[in-house]
Amino acid sequence: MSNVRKALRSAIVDPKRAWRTAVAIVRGSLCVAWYRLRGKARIAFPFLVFERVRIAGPGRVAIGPRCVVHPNAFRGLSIVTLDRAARVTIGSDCNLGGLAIRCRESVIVGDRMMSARSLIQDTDFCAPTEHDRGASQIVIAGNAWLGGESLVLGGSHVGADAVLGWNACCDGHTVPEFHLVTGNPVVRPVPIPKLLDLTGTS
Amino acid sequence: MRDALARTRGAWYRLRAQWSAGRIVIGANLRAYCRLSIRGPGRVTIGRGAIVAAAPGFPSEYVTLYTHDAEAVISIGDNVRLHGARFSSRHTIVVGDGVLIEQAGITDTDFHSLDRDRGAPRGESRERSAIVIGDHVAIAAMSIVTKGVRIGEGTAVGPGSIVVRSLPPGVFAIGNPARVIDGSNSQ
Repeated sequence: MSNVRKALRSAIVDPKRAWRTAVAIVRGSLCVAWYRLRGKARIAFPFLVFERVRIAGPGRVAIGPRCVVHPNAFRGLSIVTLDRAARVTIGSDCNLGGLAIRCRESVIVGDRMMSARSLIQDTDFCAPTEHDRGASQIVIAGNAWLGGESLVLGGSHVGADAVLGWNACCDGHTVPEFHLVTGNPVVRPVPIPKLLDLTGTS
Repeated sequence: MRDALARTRGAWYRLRAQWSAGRIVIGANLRAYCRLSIRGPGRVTIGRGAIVAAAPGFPSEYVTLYTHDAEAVISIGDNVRLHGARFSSRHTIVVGDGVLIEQAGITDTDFHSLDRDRGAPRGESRERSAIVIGDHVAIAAMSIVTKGVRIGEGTAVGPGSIVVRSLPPGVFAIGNPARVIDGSNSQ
């Protein structure tokens, strides 16, 4: 009951925001129905869509409940599966604004993942070429945060609560739990508690 | 159906190129799955059997071939695949046969000088700034190839790379700056 009252109160305080959220819920529901009907993706309800969602390709996509797609640097969510065997699994409560996923084999994203305008690609090239090192699974654990313009390539494993810095490129690396990585390719992971100690914000 | 449309669109681009007084030459069997934008006063040549397509997942990111000088040349070989590739040339860009370029930028100029006035870049010349990309090279998404780079035959550039130095033939390079990580890629 308190949740409903809270929602009502915020709708009265900021009706514009409430209207936008309502539109996003409707848009998300249409998305869920559209992709379910076409057999492209199984998206759980509720799904909030503030910016364009695009799912294409012959593979299977599953998105958990309460995911949100906000606009991030003009981009919404774009998922392309490049193979019939490709599987994209996204957990619940994820913030997917600006994310692009191109999957040939498997991409698994945990709950409460946050992304900016970043790219997850489990293969080097989307078009068939003899240069490809081969697709391999990407696992991004719960509560990970992908910074802007970051890139996660095949074979990478991003641990729980880990952060990828701006423009970081994770090329088959393993990012330990609750660590920060930056650079292209990513360099030595820094434990986040140490960083918080250094900046005096812990 | 999609292929037929792409061929028709390719034929339209070829027809339009014929009105450019020889400045733009496009070979036979161009398939255009997305918009192909050719601008500028320079010369642009595309070989036979090229495929022009948008970057996967980004239908609005079309292929651009821009020249910024009357002397600029973009020369592309046969059977190339351009998936959301962006070319900007002030001097010369030469691309070999069978090349794959995905959502990458290729510029043979810095556009601006390091001076405070940000004028024309100094020390650039056709010889020093030309980009030569060999046959059967593959350049992955979110990469940039900068001026004066020569990429050897059969080399692959991984996603997110910034190529600032020339690469030998038959290697795999990735990172910023692009480093060779695998020399055994030779076919």
